[in-house]
Amino acid sequence: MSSKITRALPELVENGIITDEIAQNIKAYYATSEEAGSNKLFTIFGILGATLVGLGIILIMAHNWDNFSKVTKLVCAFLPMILGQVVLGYSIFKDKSMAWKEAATAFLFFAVGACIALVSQVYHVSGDVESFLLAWIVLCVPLLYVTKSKTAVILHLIFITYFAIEAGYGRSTTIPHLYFVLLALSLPRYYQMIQSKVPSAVTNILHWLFPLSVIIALPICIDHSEGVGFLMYVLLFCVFYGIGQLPYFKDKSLIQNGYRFLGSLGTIILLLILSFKYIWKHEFDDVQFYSLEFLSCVILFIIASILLYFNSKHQNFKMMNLFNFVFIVFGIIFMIGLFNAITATILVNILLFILGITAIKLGADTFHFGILNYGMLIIAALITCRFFDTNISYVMRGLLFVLIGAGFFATNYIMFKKQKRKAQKK
Amino acid sequence: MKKTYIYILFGIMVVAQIAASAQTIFKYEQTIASDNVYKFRTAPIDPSDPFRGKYVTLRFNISSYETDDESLQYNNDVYAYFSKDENGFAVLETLSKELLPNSEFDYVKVETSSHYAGKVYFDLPFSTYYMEESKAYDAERLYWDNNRDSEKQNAYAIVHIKDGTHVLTDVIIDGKSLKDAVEK
Repeated sequence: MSSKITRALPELVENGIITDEIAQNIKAYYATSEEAGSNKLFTIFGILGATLVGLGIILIMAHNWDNFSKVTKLVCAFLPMILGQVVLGYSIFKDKSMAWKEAATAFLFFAVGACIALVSQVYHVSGDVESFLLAWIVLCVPLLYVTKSKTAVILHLIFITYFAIEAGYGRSTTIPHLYFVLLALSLPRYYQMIQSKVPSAVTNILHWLFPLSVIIALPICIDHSEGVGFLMYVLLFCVFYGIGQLPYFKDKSLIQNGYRFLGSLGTIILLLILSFKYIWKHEFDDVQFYSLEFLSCVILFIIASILLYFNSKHQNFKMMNLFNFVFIVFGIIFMIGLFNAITATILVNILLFILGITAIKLGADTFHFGILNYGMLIIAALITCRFFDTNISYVMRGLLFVLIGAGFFATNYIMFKKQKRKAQKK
Repeated sequence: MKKTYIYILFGIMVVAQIAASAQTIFKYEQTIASDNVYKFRTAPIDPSDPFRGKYVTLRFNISSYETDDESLQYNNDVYAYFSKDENGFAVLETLSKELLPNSEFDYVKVETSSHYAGKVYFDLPFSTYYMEESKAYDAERLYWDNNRDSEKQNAYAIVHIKDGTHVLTDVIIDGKSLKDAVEK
């Protein structure tokens, strides 16, 4: 794009459309942005290279070289780590470029893992993967702050999620809830990145990685009362939706706002699951109020309420929609469901239907085809689900599907026309 | 963050990263240097670990203790006390919930897995023997071939124990180290 513009400059100057001075300014602007672009590329390849080398070292060491003496193996364990420390130290003290710091951070991260792995290999330590991961992550926490490395945050998030999977699903030899402490340790760095004036693709990636990590790790809070897990996840998705509506995300597209996307989609998927009578009849027999699960729900409810209060204060109340209040409505339905499964099932179905209508209205009001069709999809999914547990004749089902299909066409067509008319008026 | 703080944090990180592995080495080398060797009769099998490579899991003949103590159930940390027979093989003396002061026996910390028919079952904590990746499968085969004739079976692990710290240093099958027995 930039080369196309700079090539066209002489012609524009010749025809008197822009002055020579403006042409020079445009050239200078693209020259600096090209330099920044190549720096970014150098950083990305640096990180990729260091990550691959680091992972390669782990794999080479995992071979367990029988021909090497114990001392040689131990030297091989420490050498990459010390090399990584020296390179990172050099790049910090000499204030080298970000490419240096990022690559050294990625390399040191994997070298620390390789060192712990090889030492435990040499002494045949029977530790499991989760305690190994925990030691590795804790030793690399300072990497989040010694440089302003973005790689460190991404690696930290990936590996704490891996730790949560190892520790949280099944019998654990460590404390799985340390995941939240490790997550909290990375939050100040995440906040720093959000506050940064320079827009960064990595920050947008983190807006996906953070919620994804918590979604994957949440089962560590499920101990005995699995039924409460449903409430916990609905509340978590509502918290994400609330975060996605904070003023910071106001001008961000849906693809840059993982919180809103995952929050909304997660809520709908869970409500669809809970719209089956079977779930309410059989999944909530083990609900206990004095449990870790319930405490987690209370904490999530408080966070969701604070976010709702904050969002309602900082933005137009008209911008708020039913998605913002789902956690309160579902909280009530959940309590009803503990005593009466049928009423809860009906109420969840009604809630889903209204959410679908809300999304359609939201899409129509903002001329957003994506949101409009999302609303239609919610209703279509709801009707499809009902076919599994209700006795409706095939003809009736067929007619309903035809009606939904026609609805899709009609709403999109009406909106398209409306948008065209609006454009013509302008 | 201020430069000084960054330097301090970096320094702490470097020391911690080196010290974490160095203290592991120191602890195990001290135990090996004590020369307090036990032999545990064993049966190897062959899984793998994503980071540390192929290893052989050892199942030991010593895996239970007769007791009426019903408080010992699943997932309890207890201390297993051992003596040696005339050939240096480990003999389980007792299982205790607390450390026994002035005991003449060596101990290791173990985790109970169940309590059934008057016996508490537990896993010994030195069940992982890392091997060169090409040898682990052959090592397992060698053991099972050897094991068809139960009279012939003669596999044991060599474990150094000192003050509760234990290091598995070798696995012997038919008088040969497992590493050498499957040499390619």
